Amino acid sequence: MKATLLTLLAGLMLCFKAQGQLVAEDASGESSILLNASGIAFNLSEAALSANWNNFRKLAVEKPYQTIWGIAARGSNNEGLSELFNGGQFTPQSRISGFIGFRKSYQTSVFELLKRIRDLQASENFPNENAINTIRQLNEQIKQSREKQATRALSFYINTGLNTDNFRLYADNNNSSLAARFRTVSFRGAFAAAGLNYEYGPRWTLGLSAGFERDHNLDSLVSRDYKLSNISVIGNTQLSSETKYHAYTGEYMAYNRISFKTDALYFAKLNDDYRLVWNTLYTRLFFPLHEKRINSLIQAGSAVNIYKSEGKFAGGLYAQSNDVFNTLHSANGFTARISFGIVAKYAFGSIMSRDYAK
Amino acid sequence: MRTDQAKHNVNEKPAGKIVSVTYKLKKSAFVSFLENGFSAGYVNIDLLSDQETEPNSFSTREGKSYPCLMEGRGLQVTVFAEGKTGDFWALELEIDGKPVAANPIRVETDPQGHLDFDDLIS
Repeated sequence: MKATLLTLLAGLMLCFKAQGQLVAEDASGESSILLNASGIAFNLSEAALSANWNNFRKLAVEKPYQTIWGIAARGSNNEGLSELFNGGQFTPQSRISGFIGFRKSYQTSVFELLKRIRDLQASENFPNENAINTIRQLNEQIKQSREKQATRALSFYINTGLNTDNFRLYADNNNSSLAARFRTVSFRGAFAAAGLNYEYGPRWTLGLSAGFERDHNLDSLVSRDYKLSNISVIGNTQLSSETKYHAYTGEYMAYNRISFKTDALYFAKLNDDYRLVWNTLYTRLFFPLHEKRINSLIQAGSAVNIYKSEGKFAGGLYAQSNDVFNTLHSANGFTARISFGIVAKYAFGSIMSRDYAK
Repeated sequence: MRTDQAKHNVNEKPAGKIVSVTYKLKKSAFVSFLENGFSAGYVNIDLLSDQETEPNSFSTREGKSYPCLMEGRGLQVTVFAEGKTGDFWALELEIDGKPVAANPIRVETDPQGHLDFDDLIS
């Protein structure tokens, strides 16, 4: 509750206009689907702040083929947002990524007819009776052709990026000094993925991606607070000082893995004011390469996002099983491996003005 | 042959007069208008150049208007667009500086994902 209030307060203080874009992400803010959301996002349960810059505004006009691109940055604190606000230990994580994609619309014949209309409108002696009659006929043809087919579009994209994680690792194998047991680890990871999105009719968007990642097992380590006391004694006086460490302990390793992601979004209208995007079932599959100590992992979940049709606010809930087949032996009961979260996303218009957006 | 055709057309001016049209168009997040898919009075409206900073709003640029053909029965307005369930667009037109009675023209996504409009506005 405190985190919610703080986030809302931060949003108000920034005086940004919140516009309705949506999220359809899993608990770590990832999706195989490119939605035209651009802006800043807060994921309350995971304490992430992210910003995107892309050319999604051009998707306001559908063309037979379009190139889409974007860059995104995301920073987060492993310990959660409330820790961040309370001045708690900050374990910074960041990710920067970029993508380029191609989108194809299946309205080919309609685009051709519309182009013919445009050419007639641009012709030298326009307007004239003949041309206008032809345009009327072409419009009828377009309507007939559209009656027969639902909206369909296919996008292909390549997504790549870097991520960093800085934290302290406690290892009790150094006996020269206790302080030396707290080692600073700067992990540098990278990922590359290729994905496909298929939009069918007004209700369904399906996404699939496959990628390669350099990752580490930070989330399987135990996080602890340590106090290191120094005591100096001279004569009959004693001075003590304390250093606090927030560190992770356990067997740490960095490794390579391949990943697969699938998403299936369903769009619905709740009433005149509210819309719903439901990521009916998403899956995340991770298979480590040449690393026997790391198990394969399968995650699955469902996420519901509700937003106002005027687009003032988008938020939602997700439920995710972090280890569907208990390959990590994280908990025996299936329900014990499910996590829940709230997602609230504030999105902002492009930073480019209309004069520079071409 | 082509020249003859062109000359022939010049002589057949359509019935009606040219009026100046301005507009404001708002859409929800996932609506996309088909390229060349928005015409008023047989004039193509250039949505990409009329897009505002807010990507879901479009309007005639300051001091500009579109010279459109107003026929006896009204102004032919054609819009072809796509969207998700519950998406909409809403259009407000002004002819010679006066708002039309049909304002706002509002269209919602049909079961095939289309938000099309083709009608005479007087």
